[in-house]
Amino acid sequence: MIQPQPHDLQPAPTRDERARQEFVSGLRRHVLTRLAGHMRGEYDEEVLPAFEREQGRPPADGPEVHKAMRGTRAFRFYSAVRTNAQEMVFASVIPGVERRIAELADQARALRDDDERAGGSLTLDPDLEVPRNVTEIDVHLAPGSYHAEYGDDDVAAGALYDHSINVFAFGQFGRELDDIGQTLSHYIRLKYPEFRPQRILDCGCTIGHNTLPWARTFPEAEVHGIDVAPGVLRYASARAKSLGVPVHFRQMDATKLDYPDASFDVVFSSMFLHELPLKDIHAFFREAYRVLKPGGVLWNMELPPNSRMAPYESFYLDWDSYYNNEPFYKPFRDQDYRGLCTGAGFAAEDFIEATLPRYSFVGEAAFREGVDQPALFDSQTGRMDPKGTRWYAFGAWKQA
Amino acid sequence: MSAELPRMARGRRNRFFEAEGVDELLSMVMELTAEVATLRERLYVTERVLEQNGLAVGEGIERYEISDEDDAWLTAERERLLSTVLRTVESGSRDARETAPAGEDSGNQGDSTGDSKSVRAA
Repeated sequence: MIQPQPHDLQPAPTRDERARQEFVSGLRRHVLTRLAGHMRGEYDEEVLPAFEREQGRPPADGPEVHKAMRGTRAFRFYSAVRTNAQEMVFASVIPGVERRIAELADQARALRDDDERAGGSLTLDPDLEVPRNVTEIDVHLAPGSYHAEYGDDDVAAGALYDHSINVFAFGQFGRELDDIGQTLSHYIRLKYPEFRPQRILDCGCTIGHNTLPWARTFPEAEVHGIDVAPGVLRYASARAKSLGVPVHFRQMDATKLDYPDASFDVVFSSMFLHELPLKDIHAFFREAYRVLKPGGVLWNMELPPNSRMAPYESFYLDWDSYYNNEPFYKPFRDQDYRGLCTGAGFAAEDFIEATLPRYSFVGEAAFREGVDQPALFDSQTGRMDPKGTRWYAFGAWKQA
Repeated sequence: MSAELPRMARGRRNRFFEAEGVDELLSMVMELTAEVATLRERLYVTERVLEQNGLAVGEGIERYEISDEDDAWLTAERERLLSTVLRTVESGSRDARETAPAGEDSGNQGDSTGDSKSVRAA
């Protein structure tokens, strides 16, 4: 069942809207489990043997698998139903956001202006030019993408993101949609117990769902979240206030950080890098290195690199790049992630990566056991699957 | 503030089937399935609300005996639904007459199939 979000900006769907959202959420789960399993079966039983007969070898990489799979019945239906499910996710929540657009703006403003609530701040920059990779594409088929604004103090883009991701994730992102932030912050806490970050920066924070866990895991730290889009930041700030977690949200481009050198202990990002063109990824890594203090860490949650995945898994995770309006995904995942870090100034031996069970699902004790395991690249890595998703994260320590 | 939010993402929509119209048909089927699921949930909740108000309709629904009058209405309704959904595949030419129900007079159905073939050939 879709859990209502525990903050004051949660949606108020009609009975029929709620039923439709439950259907779509269940459809998402069905596609990523049953239809995906069926597609894998067709690959194993028909496509792979046929390829090996013809070529005398198995497929070498994701693109070869993609080419072999594209005309198959299972691929067509998996892809078509998955695309429809994605469109239906947004369609199922848009009427509710539209109906309450003024009310949400008023509610969010009141929360932000409420000095009785937890600290934090919101600083917008009306002169910031939202980059074209955000404005020119409706990323992951979200109508209006991240940046659309419909009036003064509008938070519709944030509400759309929050409400839709709740449907999209069929429970896999955790109760407050923050499991990624929880998992990555608790990993740092448990793996590096001597490390006491004082200032933490989340880049591409959207509504702050994965920013707040850092403030909760390291309550003595000052936490900042930045994004280029104003509506999602207004929403993020109100949401954080509602949940009682102080975070400083700022409208800023992660490729041109308006922070001094060596001013953060942690630079974090989640599902952010794949939305940037390569030149912006390189620029972000250089900025992250610049603003990190010596002894600080860059830590990014993303899908694993294609070089570490078996061809089928690589094809499976590449799907979004071709079919989900995320054209920068494959160019990013084709990179050498260690090279991204060393190219920005980090030392090769300071590169870190991990594949982690979800903290809010497995709990502290079981998670602690996984902290020292080497990274494991298999069909569960990076996949949203109720059988046991493992998040992949990579980054580097800046030498002290 | 009020606004009309866009309903669809910008850009060309994915196509996964070569035959014209199949992608659109699939979308229509998925939307219809969502409608059915929504109706079923509403009906379920309706029964629960009635129960909460002292009307054990669930049990009553299971035990209800379909009368001859009910049967006639329901049969006609099913036929209407099937004919509506199958309209485009049941009518092969402009002067196609209502075919007999399946199982009766199958000779006529064979003839009408032959007729529509010769119409297309002409």
